This record gives sequence, C-alpha cells and structure tokens, in this order.
Amino acid sequence: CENKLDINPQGSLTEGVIEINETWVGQQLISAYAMLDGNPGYFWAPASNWTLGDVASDDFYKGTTISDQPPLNEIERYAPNTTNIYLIRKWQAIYEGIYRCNQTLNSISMAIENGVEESKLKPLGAEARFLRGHYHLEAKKIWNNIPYISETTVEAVPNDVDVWPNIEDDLKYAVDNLPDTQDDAGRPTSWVAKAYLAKAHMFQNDLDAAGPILDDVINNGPFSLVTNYHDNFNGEKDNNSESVFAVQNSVNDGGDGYINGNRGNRLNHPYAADAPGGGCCGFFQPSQNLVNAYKTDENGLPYLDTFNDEDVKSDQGVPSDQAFAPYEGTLDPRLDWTVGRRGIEYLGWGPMPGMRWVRDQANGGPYVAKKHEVLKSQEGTISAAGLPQYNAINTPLIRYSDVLLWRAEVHVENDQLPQAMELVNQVRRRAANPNGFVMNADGTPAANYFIKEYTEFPSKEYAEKAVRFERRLELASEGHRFFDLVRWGIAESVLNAYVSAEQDQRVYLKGATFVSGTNSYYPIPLEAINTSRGVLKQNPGY
Amino acid sequence: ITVSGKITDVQGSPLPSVSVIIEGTYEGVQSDFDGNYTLNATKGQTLMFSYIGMETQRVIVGDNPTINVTMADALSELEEVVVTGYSKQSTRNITGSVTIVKNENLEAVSPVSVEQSLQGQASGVLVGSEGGPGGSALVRIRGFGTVNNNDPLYLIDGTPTTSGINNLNPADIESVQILKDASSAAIYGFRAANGVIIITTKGGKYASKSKITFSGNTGVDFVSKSDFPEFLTPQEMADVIWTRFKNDGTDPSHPQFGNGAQPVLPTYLTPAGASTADESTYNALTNKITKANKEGTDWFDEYFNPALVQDYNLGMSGGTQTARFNIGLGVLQQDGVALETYFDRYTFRANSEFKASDKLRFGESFNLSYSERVSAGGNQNTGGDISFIYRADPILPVHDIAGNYAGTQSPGLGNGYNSVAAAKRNKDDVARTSRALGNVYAEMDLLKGLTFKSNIGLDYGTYHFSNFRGMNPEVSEPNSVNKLDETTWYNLSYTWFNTLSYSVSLDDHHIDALAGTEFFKHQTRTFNAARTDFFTEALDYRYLDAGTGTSTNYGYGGKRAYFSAFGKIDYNYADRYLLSFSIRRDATSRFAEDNRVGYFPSYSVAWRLSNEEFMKGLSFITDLKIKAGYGELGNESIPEGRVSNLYGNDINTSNYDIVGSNSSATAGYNLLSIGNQNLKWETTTTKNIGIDGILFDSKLNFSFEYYKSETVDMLLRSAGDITLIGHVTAPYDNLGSMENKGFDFSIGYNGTIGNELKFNASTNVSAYKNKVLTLTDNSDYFLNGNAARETYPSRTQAGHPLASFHGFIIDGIIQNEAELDAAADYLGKDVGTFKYRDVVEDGVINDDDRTYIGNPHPDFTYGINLNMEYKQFDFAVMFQGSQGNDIYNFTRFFTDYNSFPGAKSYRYKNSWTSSNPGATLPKLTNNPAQHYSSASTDYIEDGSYLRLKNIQFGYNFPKAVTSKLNIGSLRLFVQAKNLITWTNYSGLDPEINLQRYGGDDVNLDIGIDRGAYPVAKSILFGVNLTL
Repeated sequence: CENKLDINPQGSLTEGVIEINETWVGQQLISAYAMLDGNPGYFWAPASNWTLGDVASDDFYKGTTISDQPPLNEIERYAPNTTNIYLIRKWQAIYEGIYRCNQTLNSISMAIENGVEESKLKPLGAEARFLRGHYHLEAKKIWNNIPYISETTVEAVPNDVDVWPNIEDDLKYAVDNLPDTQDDAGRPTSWVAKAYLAKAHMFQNDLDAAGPILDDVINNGPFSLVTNYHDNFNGEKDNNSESVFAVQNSVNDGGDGYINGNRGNRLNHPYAADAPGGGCCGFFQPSQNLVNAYKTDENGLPYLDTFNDEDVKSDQGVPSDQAFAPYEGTLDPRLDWTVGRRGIEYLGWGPMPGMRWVRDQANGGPYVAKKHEVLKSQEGTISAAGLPQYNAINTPLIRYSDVLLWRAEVHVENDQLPQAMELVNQVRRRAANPNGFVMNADGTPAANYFIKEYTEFPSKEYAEKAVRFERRLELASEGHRFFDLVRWGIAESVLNAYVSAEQDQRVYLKGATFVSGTNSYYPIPLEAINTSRGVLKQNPGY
Repeated sequence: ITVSGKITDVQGSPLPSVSVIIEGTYEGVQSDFDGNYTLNATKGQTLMFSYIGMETQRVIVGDNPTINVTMADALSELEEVVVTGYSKQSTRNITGSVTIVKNENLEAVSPVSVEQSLQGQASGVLVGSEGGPGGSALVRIRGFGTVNNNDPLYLIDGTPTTSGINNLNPADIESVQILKDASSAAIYGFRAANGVIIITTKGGKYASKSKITFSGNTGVDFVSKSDFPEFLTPQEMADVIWTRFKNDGTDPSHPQFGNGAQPVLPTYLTPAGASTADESTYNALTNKITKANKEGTDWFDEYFNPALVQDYNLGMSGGTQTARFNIGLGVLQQDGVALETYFDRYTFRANSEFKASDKLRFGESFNLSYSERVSAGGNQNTGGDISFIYRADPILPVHDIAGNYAGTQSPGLGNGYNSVAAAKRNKDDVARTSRALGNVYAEMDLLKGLTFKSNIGLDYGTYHFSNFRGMNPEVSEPNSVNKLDETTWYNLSYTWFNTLSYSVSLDDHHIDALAGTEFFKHQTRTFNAARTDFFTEALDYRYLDAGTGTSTNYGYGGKRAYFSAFGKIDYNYADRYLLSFSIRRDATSRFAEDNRVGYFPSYSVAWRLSNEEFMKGLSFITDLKIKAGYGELGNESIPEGRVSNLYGNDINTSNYDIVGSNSSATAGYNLLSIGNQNLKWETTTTKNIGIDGILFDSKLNFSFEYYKSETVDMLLRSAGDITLIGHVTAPYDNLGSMENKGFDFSIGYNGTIGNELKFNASTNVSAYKNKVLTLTDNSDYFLNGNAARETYPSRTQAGHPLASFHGFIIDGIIQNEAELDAAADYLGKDVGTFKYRDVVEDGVINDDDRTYIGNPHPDFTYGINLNMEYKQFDFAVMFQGSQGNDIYNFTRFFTDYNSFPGAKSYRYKNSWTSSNPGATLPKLTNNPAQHYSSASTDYIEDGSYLRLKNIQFGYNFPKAVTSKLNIGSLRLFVQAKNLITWTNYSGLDPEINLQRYGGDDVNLDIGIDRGAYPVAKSILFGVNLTL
C-alpha cells in the first residue's frame, strides 16, 4: 500500500508540471501587474494611496464615523502604530509585487537555459524591471529606509543602504529595453519608463537630472492633455493621451465581478443607496481646506496665501430636507470634479443632497469625493453589476499634467519663470475649457466658475508657490499630496497650520502634530522587522 | 473433578461464550451455545465466570460437580472489558490512562450530541460547545498539544473520523472509552496524538430474547431574561450623547435628538427626528415611516425565545445462537433559542454479527444519518446576528408602522442589522448533511488463542448548503442585489485494517499480543456556485437558474492517505505485574518520500499492589494499582501539498486587465505557497504516573494521574519574511515545541443508606498547564489569532500559553493634573483618559508597551455527580465548572466605547467624571484618545463558572404494574439542564471557546466573546420503556 502514498497536490501546479517557456513567463508577468492594485491588501493597500497620501495630508479626512477603522485615524493624526494594518498591508502588497517581478525574471533565465530565444523574452524582462522599479519607488516614498530586493536576493537585506541607484537601474533598463509603443494599453512603453525615471529624480530632489528627461517626454513623447478635465476620471475614457501610467481596473470580467475593480476605493462612496457605490461606506471626505483652495480671485487665480481665511460656504449642520443655497463666489471648475458638495450635480446622480449622503457629518464634514465614481449612465457597466462599490475607472499613477508640473518645478528651480508659467498655464487652460465644466441639468454651469491663466510670475518664491498650488488643484485625491509636501520640505508647516485651523470642526485632530523627520516617513511595519529577524531597522522616531 | 453446568442470564436464557477460568491460573473454557460448560478443577479452587457487560461470578469448587450460574448485568466496573486498541482489554488490567463513560452515564444527561455528554463526566477531558443546535464542540484531552489540529481521534466501531460527531445519536452508544495518554493511544499512531475517543455502539447478544426499547423526551430550551446584558434606555442614550458633546466643548447635534441644550426623543425615527408624520403617506420603499420606541426595545428578548426540543429513540435487539443484532432509530428535533435556528437529525443504525462456524464470525455496524440545520448568522463573528443585537439601538423598534422591518436606515443609529429581520430571512438557509459510517469485518480463530480480523470501514458524508441573501432595505448599508449561494461537498474515507491477535497463558504468565496493518485513504471535493438578481425572493424560486445577474463559482478538493503497521504486547505476571509495549510505524502522504515514515513506541508498566502478599491483610483494599507510562505520538495535521512549491491562479490577485478593456482580465500565475521537502513528523512525548484504587468492598474508587507531555518538531508555518516573499504562504517547517503538564483526579463512592437508598457520588478534577516553549528560532515570532475587528487579542508566542491575550495594561484613569504629568504620553492623553502602563518605561505609550494580559486556559475544570435510588425513585444531579480562565469580552467594544452607534452599557453611562473617580471607563467624548480601540485589560474578565449541568428525577413503575401491562420496564423522568450558572462573567454566557470549529489554526483563538450563542437552559420530560 505504501506506493499509494505518492499523492500530488490537488488543484495546484507544482514545478514538475510547469513548462518554463515564453507563455509561462508572460503569465507570471501578468501576476506582477496584478499587484499594481494592491490586492490582496484590500482597501488597506490602495493603489491610489488615498490613505497615506491624501488622508494624511491637508486634502482629505478619513470620513465616516470616528470609530470606523481607527488605524486610519492614527494615520490622519500622525500617530501610526508600528502594527498599523494600513502600513503592514501596503508593505506586503508592494513586496509581493516585487517578488512576482523577481519570479518573472528568474523564469526568464530558466527559459533561456531551456532554449527560448532571448530576444522574445527581453521586452517581458524590461516590463518586469519597470514594475520592480515602480514598486520600490512606492516603498521609498512611503518609508524612505527600505531594502531593495532583486531576483537574486534570498536573505533579509538591511534597509540602511541607499536604494535610489537600484531603482534608477531598473527604470533605466526599462527605458533602454521597452518598445516605444505597446499593443496592450496596460503595458509601459519606454516613454512611460522615462516619466518614472524623472519621478525618481524628482523624489531625490535631483531636478537637474529630471529636467532633460521630462523635456524628452514632453517634446518627443506620445502624451498630451485631454480636452476635458473629467475625461481623466471617466472609465469609458481610460488610457487616453493624458494617461502616462495607470492601474487597469476591470469589472464584470468573468471573475467574481468586482475583484479587479478598484478594490482600494471600495469604502469611499457616499453613504446612501441612491449614490454611486450603493451606500458604502462614507470614507474619504474632502477637507474644508481643500475646498477653500479652489476659490479664485478677481483675476481667476487662486489665493495662494489667503485661501483658507474664509470658508467656501458649506451645508454643515443643515439637514437635506432644509433649503441650502450653495456658495456664490468664484471657483476653479476642477473643484466640482474633485469634490461632491451640496446642490452641485454629481455625475448624473442628481444634485448632491448634502447630509443625506454623508455618514456622519459631525465627524467627517459635509463633502464627499468624486474622481473615482462612475457616471449614473455607467452603472452596471463601468461599475460592477450588483456590486457598485467596485468599478473599472483606472487608477492614475502618472498623468501628463503631473509631468508638466514637474517640469514647471524644474524651471522654477532654474529661475526659468516664464517657462514654468507656461506649463502651469497649459494645465489651467485645459481646466478653463467651459465645455468641461460641471453642468446643471439645464446645461448651465453648476457654479460660478472663473479660472484664468497666470500673466506673470513676479518672483521665484511666487512661482514656486503657484506651481505647488497648481499641483494640489490639479491632482487632488490622486494620492500625491502628502508625498509632495514631504518632498518639498514643507509638510510640517503646512500640516500643523492645517490641523490648528481644522481642529475646531474636526475635533479628533486636536493634539495632532506633524513632526518633521519622524512623520515625514511612516514606521516600518513591526511584522517586517520581526520577520527579517532584526535585519530591518525601524525608522527614526518610532 | 470434572465440573460442569449451565450458565444463564437473569431471564433464564442460556449464555454462550462465557469465559470460565480457574482463578489464579489461565486455564479455562468458554460456554457453548446452550450455555453449557465442562472443565477439570480441583476442590477448593475458584471458578471465575466472566462475560462482557456482566458481573463476574466466582464460585468455589466444592463436592458438587454441577455448578449452574446466573449472570447479572455488570454493576461494578471492576471487571469491565473495553476496547482500547484494536482489541478488548479488562479495565482492571489497563496500564495506560483510560476513562470509560458508560451508556447509563450518557443517558443520565439526555445529551443530543456525544461531546455534550462527556462534559463534566471524564477527568482530563475538556469539552466546550459552539452553542446553538447542531453546533460543533471543542474536545481537548489533557490540554493543547500543538498549534495545529488538537481534535482527538474518534473511532466509531473501529472506523476513524475526526469530525462531525454530532451526526451520531448518543442513544446508540454502548460505551465511550477515552484514551488519554500516549501509552494507551500509541497503537493508533499519529492520529492519536490528541487522544482517542473510542465509541462502541450497542450490539445485540447471542441467544437472547428480542428486546424493544423506547425512550423519548420533550422539553423547552430557553435563555433567562436575567442573563441578558442590561443596556441604557433611549433617554439615557440620548443623554450620554449630549454629555459627549458637552465634554468636548462642542454644540450637541444628532439627526434624531435635535440640537438643543437637552436632547429630545423624537416620535418618529423616519422621518428623522420628527415629532409628527402623516402616516397615511406611508410607502415601504419611498416613504418609510418608523416610530421611535421611547421605552426601548429589548433586542435580546426579541431575538432569544423558548424553543421546543424533542428526542425519540427506538431500539430493537436480539440474538440466536449464531446471530445477534441491534437496530436503533432516532429522531431529534431541536429548535434553537435564537430565532429560526434549529437542528433536526434522523439516525438509523444496525449492528449485527453472525457465526459462520465455531471459528469464523462476520459482522457489521452501520450508521446512517441525515440532518438539517439552520444556524445563527455569523455566530462568534463581529458581523453576526448576535453581535448585531449588541449594536442595535434600543430606540429602534423591530418593525415600522406598517409591520415591515425597521432599521438603521433611520439616520444616526449606526450601521447595524436588524437581527430579527436577518434571522427571519435566514430561516430557509438550511445546511443538509447526510452521512453513512460503518464497517464490516471477519474474524477467524486460527489456533487456540490466535485470531485474525479484517475490517473495512467506510465514512461517506455529503453536505449541501443553500444560502440566500435577500434584500434588506431597512439597514443603512443595504444589499444592492439579492444572491443565492450554494455549497456542496462530499468526503469519502476508507480504512482497512488487518490484525492478528494471540493470547497465551503459561502458569503465572499471560501474554496478549497483537500485530496489524492499516491503510487509510481520504478524498474530498467542494463545489460552490452563486448567482445574483432574483426576480422574487420566494422560496420556490431559489434555484441558481432563476438568477439573472453575476454568476460565480469555485471548487477545490484534496486527497490523502496513510499506511501503518503496528504491534503490541501485554504481559501479565500473576496479576501483579503488568507490562505493555507497543510500536507503530506510520507513513503519510503529507510528507515527501524520504521523511514519510515515523516510528512511535510506547511502554507502560503497572504494579498491582493489592495482589501482593504483604497487602493481603489490608482487607479494605479491593484493588490497588500504581502505573507509569511513556509514549511517543506523531502529528502531521497541516494542509496537504506543503512539500512542494504550489503555483496557481488566484482569481482575486493573479489576474489583470492588461489590454485595458474594463471588462476582461488576463489570467496570471504566481507562486502561492512555498514548499518544504524536509517536512517530517511532529512528535509528542508523554510521560505519566498514576494510581488507581478500589477500596472498601468496591465502594470507593479513585484514580489520580500526573502527566507531562512535550511536543517537538512542531509543524509551523515559518516566520516568512514578508519583505522577501510578500503574501506568498511561507513554508511549513518543524519549528516549535510545546509543553503540557497536569493531573487528572477522580473519586467516587457507591453506598447505601438503610436498605433502600442507594447512592453514588463522584467528582473529577482536571488541570493542565500549557506553555509554548519555542516557535521558530526567532523568539520575537508569534502567531496571531483571528482579528476582532482591527485588533488581534490572541497571540501565541514562546514562553506563554497557547493563544494568550495580548494588549495594553490599563492602570485606571488619570484623575488629575499631577497624574496627567506623571502618565506616559499618548495622543489625546488627558485628565479622564486611560492610564496605560508604560511597560518599556520610555515615557511614551506605543505598541512596544503591549504585553501579555490574560490566559484563556482554566486553572482547573471539574465535575460533580450524585446519583440516588430509593425504591422506585431515582435522582441524579451533576455540576460542572471551570476555574481561573480569562475571557476576552469583545462585545464591550460595542457597548462600552464610543465605537459604533448602538446599545450602550451602564458602565459606559458611568464613565469617568471628576465626581465619579471610581469609574472604569474614560471620560465620555466624541474624540477618543489614541489606543482606545486597542486590545487591553479592560476587556479581560474572569471566565470561571459553576453550572448545575443536569438535575433529573425519575420514577420506575413497579414490577406489579409493568407485568400487568405486559412490558419489561417503564420509567418516567423530569429533567433540567444548565438551570443555574454561577459566574462573574458579564456577558451572555461564560462558555466561550473557539471562534471557528474547522480548519488548521482554530486553536490560536480561544475564549474571545465576539457575540457567542449561549448555552441554553432546558426543562424536559421523558419516558424509558422496555418491551
């Protein structure tokens, strides 16, 4: 009977039955892409970084009720524990992505040994290295002191070594070996890799290195701004000319219907059954500070210094069945594509009804987010049939406006103020397209939109402020803000000012303090330190 | 002289196969089919007549060569013969640790499951229940030996199984033997590392009259209202909400209670906070109108209700000279105390044996069962029905003004479910289990004393569960679509064992030897399919084809096998010195070929002092035995296929829409699990010593045993470096060790008072101490239990008991500025907030300050039994208890903290204020300080309890009546179960065990109350009838 004990695992592939060939390499590579959305980290590891990038910034509140997901309150209050689930899951998802890239690269070596032509595998290898660069870059901006894991790493690696050179190596390899065009919209081209390489330089504050690459992307690359701002957030217009690199979300794809459908944002819908998302769960609410930033002055320009002196009028405390007249002052039209506010048409779902859509206004304020929501007409097609929390709107990682505004930063650094202004204006010009405004049902603009281009950057200081302000307005809720503030070295002043202004309304912010250095980066998850057997060291201050 | 005679039972029927032995020798014969025997003996020698289940008779040979004997059913356990390891053994000669529970002990508690009947009956056996009709049970023999599966091996008439014992009807059971130590269990090899529970079902007797028995009982299960947690009234709730705002210095406002200086209870909850509403405009979908229940709804009372239980059993048995049979039929209909829960079980059993010749016997035992179960939604789950009744705000009524369900759709009242509605919708979600379990065997006497047995056992089970998730428009987060989800599985296992047993006596030497082989094969397959969008939710429409929306499905399966060879020798010298040795060689499919085989030996010795010359003078000693044992046992209970790297496509995480189509995903493949070719057996080594005694003319018996076991090479998922492997399942490895030590003690007394009052009193006490010695070579490594929302209160780490509670220590509340300055820092620290202990003394409270804060394991558990008989009356009472275990009462997260809106406790209302410095909870606020949601000592409660488990009063009709009625016997009884529980635990019921009862790592989470189904009280009436 003993020879009957040789039983193969049921329903799983083992090494003996896998043929290592081009097909297998391609399938492994797909799984490396599959980690871009952060699954299986669920909403704790969102690709959009709404947690670590937006809630932790001055743009967004956690929202919902005080007690829902307390670990996110800790992040919002700059007091995360080392066991915070949002950090563990993010770390694990990123390094799972890296592991899959490395598995792909190892399979390529084996396939070559097996006689597969190297040229067939090279583009796949370049994609794997691109993704590995992306994942490490994500980790780098979140934790700073991270280990670099390559396809030959088998033991824990210390995190006190500068990994920027490794990240750059991966991205440079991708620049050199990726094709200029790809058949599949989800795969990076050499142009995408260049944009990433520039991003790596921006995060090292090596603007001189970033400049020429950005110029190359802008002057020779395939990207352009789309006509209407909202097309960037419309699932039917995914992968348009402005999308440099994005997570490809899909629904109704034969799987469980929702699993690849932007799981990271599944909690971030208005709290009402008649809203997109079907009523779950009221997270991710824009701050009053962010809304105020969209006010424009008599020249159609933002109030760079005084924007928060007076609030855009809100319906805080006003029940939905009581009358409310929205703010009548002039506003940047991008506000109402970014923020859902009372009385303004919400993507075909009717005017946002205020308190009724908000889970706990006393806690999370009167606003809801908007960019990741489907149009009413897309219900069941771009959102998952029967599971509206999930939808196929891509999660933008780099947009072309992102690239333009980086280049503007470089220009400011080099005192090329008119060139910087032109790039900012290019972004504003598109925003100012009146066909791209949020409209009432009768076709009139939903609010008093008034936006103009800058006519002058009078000083380097002004230019820097304007460029940074434009980034906030253009890219709000796309997960960049916190990391930008840290990159610019202004996180402490901006965030502490924000906390002191907001804490009267958002009482849970009382006592929160951002300490530069410590809070500029998140704590390394304790689980990562423990399982590395102490090879990884905790970030300073935690 | 040649002695001969006839052996009969009390009814006068001849008894074949009675063994007749000349005491002090091993010479003897068996009675023939007519109960006759003949043998040669010397005058003055004692003949010993013994037969399974009957009291042994001793007769001194005198002048009369004819000795006729009438054998009575055994009353004393002194001579009992039980199955202990592929063979039968006299209980008095057992050298290992075996507890026997006989069917009268089982019947006395009218159990509906086998495990329940063991609770409090057997020392060294810890039994806890899942709660709810048809629920599973936790049975742990001498503690927890591993982080892996700790379930004992069950052998039902020789067929092994480890699960689903609740398909078995306790009324079919003749006896239960619990093999507790390695030396007695070792013959069953690796599957016996957690102990063995041998269940022998009732068989017939050769040459016996047909007998028909009927037993039935019916009664009511209930939960006392006094056990329900007490919650604030709606007015008190509104007041504490206002206090929160006032403490924060912000203006109070609430969708229901207005925004004035004082909260105002509304007349209507929908429309929110309204004092008037035009009820004539009601529309269930577009204009729901819900009235506030200002008196407060008692959601526990709405959800828990008395329930009817009926249990009927019919037995038929009999035998001829060459055939015997026993047939049992059982029907159990048990409604649950939780709304719409129930368990119905139908069982059929047939045991028979045939003598083909003098030397050849064939037999079979067969159990068929079918059960239907509706269980409480999400028992022990923070999203379950019971958890949601803690979260239901009392101002919410169950129904709106039109009789439709009311719920948290009315704003400001949280996001809980209406548990009454959920239970009503769940009432047709039936889990149906069918099971066939049985064996056939042939037994042949080859030579004198040499017997060959071949046995094939089969265990086949199927399961089908149809779960319909209906629309629930009354809640704040309603389902957007209805969904039917159907799951089915089968599992099939097959066991074939062959044994050769030999028994020989030579003067004072007696040897029993056994050798055998066993092959076991198991396969299982699960299939699930679901669809959404059903036009109607009517029951007749709940078939997958009727759904028009998304279809999903999954399926998986497994196969495993083992092959074993084993041998055992029992040596008895002059009934004084007993030695036993066994060895088993197990080979399993779960390990790679090179590491597949494990050898597991055991040794035990016993010395019967009472038979020594120097003890003869001590006439009060009937039997006294000291014993010691040593044994090794294996464990391989990890998931299958862990030897190899496993690759696959996980639909959740491997696919990607690379073409950017929005609605297609390309399949990817990735490594899911890392294998380890070197996996080998986990081994538990147990040592024990003990003493068994029977004193004072068999009136007093006691048993004491001390044991120590150590598990090494414990199979663990290694501490995979998440930076190196991400989410890939880390390889299992032989990495840990664990220790258990403890004792079992039992003592019983049989006595009479006067001539008529007979009584039996017994008690048993069991204690174990569990400690994890190592978990990998990384002492920082730990295993988490399951999450309780965002916290992990259970942690398993070297140096601590399995599944210890872990969190912050709270040293009261910061009372004043001076204490505030002295207290370690954390965000939101203030006068009136918790004073967390700064364990690492760095002035800051962070994760490093969490430590071990509680132990779910009891100091000891115990049972007390008292049985009395007076004339026609009988009386039984049983207490059962647990002492010194902690419970982590997670329900307080909802009721004691500003977590989700919902019912709040009086502790919460009495939160800290400067004039209430003795409060246990911090100052009321909308802005709780950091760590408030973390695991802490505030959740730890003493879980000790003493329960009046059973009390029964019976009346036997006298012979005069029964003979007139032409029946054998008739007894009526009234019984109460779980009537009184003494405990300081504040939750619904102190019997909190596992969160889940299936899977590999269930033991990492013990004693956390996430809203557990309570153990019901019951009162029932019954009848036992023999024709």
